[in-house]
Amino acid sequence: MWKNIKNSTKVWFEERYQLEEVVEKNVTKKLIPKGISLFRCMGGLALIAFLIQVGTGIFLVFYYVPSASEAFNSVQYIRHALPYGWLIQKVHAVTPYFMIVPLFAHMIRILFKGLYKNPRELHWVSGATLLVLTLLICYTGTCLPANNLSYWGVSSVGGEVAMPTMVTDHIVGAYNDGGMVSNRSFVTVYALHVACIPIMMCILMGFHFLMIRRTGVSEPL
Amino acid sequence: MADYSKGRNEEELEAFYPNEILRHILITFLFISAVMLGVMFLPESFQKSTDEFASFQTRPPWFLLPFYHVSSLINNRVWHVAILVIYAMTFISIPFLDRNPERSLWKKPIFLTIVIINLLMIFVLGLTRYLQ
Repeated sequence: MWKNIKNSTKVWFEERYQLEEVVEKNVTKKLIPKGISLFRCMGGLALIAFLIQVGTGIFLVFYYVPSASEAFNSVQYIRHALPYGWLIQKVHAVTPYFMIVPLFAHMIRILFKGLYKNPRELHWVSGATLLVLTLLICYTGTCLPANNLSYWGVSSVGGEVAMPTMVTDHIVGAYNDGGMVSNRSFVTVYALHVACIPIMMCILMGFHFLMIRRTGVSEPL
Repeated sequence: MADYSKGRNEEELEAFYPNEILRHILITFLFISAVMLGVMFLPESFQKSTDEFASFQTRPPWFLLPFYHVSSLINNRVWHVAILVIYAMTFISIPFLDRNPERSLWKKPIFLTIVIINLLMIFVLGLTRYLQ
């Protein structure tokens, strides 16, 4: 019976979308050049890290409160009261430390081998922009829990950070104002962290992967 | 879509599935293991943000340290933001700035020197901020 259900489902999908042909062409019967090193997996690793961040971030969105009075407490609630909340919060906090390593390795490999040359100039442009956006999203992420790291980041280093002036004014001004942070500051940084930057990253990633599919990976040197 | 089999004989090709997929899965598991080790062993100091707790024992992620150091070196806000934006734009525009037909960086001494100086500068900026 299970086999019948499986077959009929397969036939149903096959009639409509011809998935078998797509899978054969792109996965099972696809051939790639030999001699490509493991360093070529670095871009894929950065994608895996991004997906981990999206997965854990979606969980955190349900419980994090972007407000001056509640931000810290909501993170404490996630860490101490929710089942496995500590794990998900810490994975979300720690993954960027490791995400940047394959990203840097990927960029440096491409830079040293000159793989950004014609016809792959836009691969580099989209990838380098993704690196800049990754640094920005990591920075906004460190500001959100309103812990001492957030304070250190936006205040103790002199109040100058790699963010648009409007945003830094909000955060730094608010932090320096007797340690209180305005709700607007949190909402601004929160919106950048969970919506603006990730959406830009997704669009650029789509563009990056589409171009790689079009031109293929570069020849091993 | 790119067809890698064009212009190559069978000996120069290998199957994407399962060879390449398996390599990716192995590397992914190694990466997840590293993250989990980080979750277990990376120290963290999670305290409420007040002057009292804003100690330099708490450091931002290592990859942001160079940028924080730059911020402490340049007092002018406009210059600071401008320098970071110009730096990022230059980095993004590398394919259009490097017009040398040679691909390998090792064969382009001037460009190689610029890259090495920049990498060293980022490393030194981060390290000095870390040690402060």
